[in-house]
Amino acid sequence: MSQMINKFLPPFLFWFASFGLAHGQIRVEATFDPPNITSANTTIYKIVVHGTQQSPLGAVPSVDGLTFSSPPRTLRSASFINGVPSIRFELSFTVTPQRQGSFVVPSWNLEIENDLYAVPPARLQVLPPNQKDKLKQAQQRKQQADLREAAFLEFSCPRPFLFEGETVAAKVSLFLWNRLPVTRIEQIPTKSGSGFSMTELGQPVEQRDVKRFNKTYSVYSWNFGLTGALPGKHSISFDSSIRVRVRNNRNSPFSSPFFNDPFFGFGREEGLKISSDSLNLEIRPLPVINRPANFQGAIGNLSIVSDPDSNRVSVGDPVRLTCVISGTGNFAAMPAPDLSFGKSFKVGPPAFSFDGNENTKQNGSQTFEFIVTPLQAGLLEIPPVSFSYFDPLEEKYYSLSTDSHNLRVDPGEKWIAPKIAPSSTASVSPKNASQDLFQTESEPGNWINKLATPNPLESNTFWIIQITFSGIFISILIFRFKGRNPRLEARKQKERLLEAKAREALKHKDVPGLHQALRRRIRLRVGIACDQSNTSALSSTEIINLLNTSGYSDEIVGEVLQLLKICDESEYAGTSNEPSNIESTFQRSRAILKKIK
Amino acid sequence: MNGESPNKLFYDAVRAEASGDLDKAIEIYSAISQETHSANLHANLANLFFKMKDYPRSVLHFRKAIWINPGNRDYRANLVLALEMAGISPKDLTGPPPSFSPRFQTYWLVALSIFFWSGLLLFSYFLRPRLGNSSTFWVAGIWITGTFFLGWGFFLSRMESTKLNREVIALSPSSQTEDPANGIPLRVFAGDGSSANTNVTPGTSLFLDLDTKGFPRSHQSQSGEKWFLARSSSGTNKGWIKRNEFDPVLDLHL
Repeated sequence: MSQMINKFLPPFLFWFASFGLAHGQIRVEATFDPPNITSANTTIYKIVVHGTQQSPLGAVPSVDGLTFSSPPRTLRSASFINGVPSIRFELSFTVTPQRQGSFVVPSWNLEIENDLYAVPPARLQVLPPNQKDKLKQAQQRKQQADLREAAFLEFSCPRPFLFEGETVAAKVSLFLWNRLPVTRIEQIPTKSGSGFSMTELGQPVEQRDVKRFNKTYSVYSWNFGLTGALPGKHSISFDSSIRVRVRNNRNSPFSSPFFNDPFFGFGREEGLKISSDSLNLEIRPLPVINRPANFQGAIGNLSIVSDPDSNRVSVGDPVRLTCVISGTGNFAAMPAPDLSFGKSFKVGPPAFSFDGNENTKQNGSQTFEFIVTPLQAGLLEIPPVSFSYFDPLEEKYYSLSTDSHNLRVDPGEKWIAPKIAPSSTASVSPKNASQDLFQTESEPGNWINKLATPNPLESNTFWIIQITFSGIFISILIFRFKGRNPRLEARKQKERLLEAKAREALKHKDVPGLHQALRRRIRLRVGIACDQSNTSALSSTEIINLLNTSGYSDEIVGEVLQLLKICDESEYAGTSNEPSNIESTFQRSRAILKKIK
Repeated sequence: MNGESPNKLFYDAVRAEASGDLDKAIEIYSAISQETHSANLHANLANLFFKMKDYPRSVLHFRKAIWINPGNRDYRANLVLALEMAGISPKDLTGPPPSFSPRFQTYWLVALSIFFWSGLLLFSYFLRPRLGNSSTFWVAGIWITGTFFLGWGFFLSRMESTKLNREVIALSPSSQTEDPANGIPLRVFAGDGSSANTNVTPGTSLFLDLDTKGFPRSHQSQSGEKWFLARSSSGTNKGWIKRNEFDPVLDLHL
């Protein structure tokens, strides 16, 4: 049934409106609905045209104190009233009162079907706000305050006023409440205010969990250099925009206290524009009194040094003179010092480089590199470089100058220009050279076949060294291997053990043990020295005879005999040295053994 | 060079330049530089490119001249000026100390060899390694320290050599007096239609990436163009660049 109604009713109404009532009587009504409102509410100014569904033409007269929405909402309707067909056209304007009072919309004309019809006057009474309105307004103000606290920009300038051309390190910070579902920063802060120039904003510094207004924020801060450009009083503010995620069924995320909305954070994205408070700053012109003649606009607290890269050159050789201006100041707008070096030098345009805080370009050092070419020989002096700046804190001009530098300039070789045949220049029109600092070499010099780095593995010297040293090393190894005598090695090993044993006995004051070890060591050493394989069985007398026959001096033989006697007496007769004497006996034995080789 | 000696051609180029025919002088010098090199040849060529306001090519040839004759201060001063005119900071020129220059890597290696072998022979023949012997300890310490120092010097010099062998100068495809508006693009992919990772100023030093075999990484497109993967000196910016958009500082087979 409902499908039948939906199918046939609209065509019927259309026919009914078009033909059934095409020539009905037209009547116009105008009312406020409701006619009495408080100043905090809105009302509807409704115009009903009976007897037609055609759109009327006309303009609502303006009424002081009332604002009409535009365009109006329209409604066409058709109905049967007590069996009589009726059609009408409605226009509805939303009216917002600006103040309290009684308002009348005067009679005005509507053009309908090429005829004019008078709209009757309508009356509206706007009453003072009631308690409910006041509560609603307070709630709206709180919402707006909450919104301002949810995301705001804060701009800070370290000085209450600037001088023209002065650069200060300023900061703009974007505070984003942690509960605000920000998807991204759509636009970084941009300056509004024509009296200032600023450096580019780089990457922000991010701070988490910053407390403000009893809320927790993430703060993105940009440091930049702010320069006063135009004298006078100027206002400066910053605007930014962010993207936040809002619910789908709301027209705006900020028409309600979204902060308490549990569904906040799902749905579509909307842009939110954020503006900082406007700051009024005065830009003062630089004082004219006591301004140095060579002042070129440097403002700050600065120092200057200069340094040439050489103190002895030939005529025409370039000298790089580096002037470094460092401190705090307007480096982005700082011109190079003016070098007036007279006729002795030719000064080229400087190269600039800044080293310091690139974000603000306000703190660091600016380097100017001049190419200074001496034009005459002799002991010349590179004059001091003078430089003036204005200190904005002390509001004074200062003049600085660097030290002078001595430069010894040798005469150098005289360059003879090549003779050019006149005929060769006739046919060719010379081109204008942009700059000709270079002297064309008229001789080719030494030719090389290839531009390449040397390969050290292709160096003959390297391979000769490798072969020579490795050959020597291998020879030593072979010599040592072949020269090994196992018996001799065993004896030397045994001798080392006996020495260790003697040291041990000396350490523990073991007199018999020490003498025994010394006697065995002497025998062993004599055996090695006299090439006797088994000396352990020899008596002291036989050892002495062996030394005599081997040609050792009587002094050595006597010392050995005496030492053996001490050892024998200690071992066999039981007499021994006092413990205090054994150290000297040990040292004496070492001295004797060194002589027996 | 049609069988003519480089000296004769060089003098022809000097005469052409003196007569004001800079194009012809460049043509002759360039032809010579295809076969052989000299510091004066490249310096004159750089001078001519400078006069023609082709600063990137001037930078390239001053680099070549400095490689052949590193002690010439004029070349260095002129290179600084050419770099500035090309819009490039001369700070990029600051390299390692001259002692670690690639040309000294053979000296480092020879010194390392002599020191290493001398120590080894000293220990094997004269000194018996004995623990606890203080003189042995000190000699061994000096030997090890010296060997490490010389090895480090050779390593740095070798690294500089490798870097120089990869270094190229970005150039406009044709010799033109005005630089392209956005510089030379380092593209995401090896193709003309690819977007650029970044653009570099003509005259900037770039470094070719090497493959696992030590050769520059390259790609040949269907149209026959050869592309190379290059990166800036800091290594942060990289992308593909066509062969006609750069020239190496040294002779490389690309």
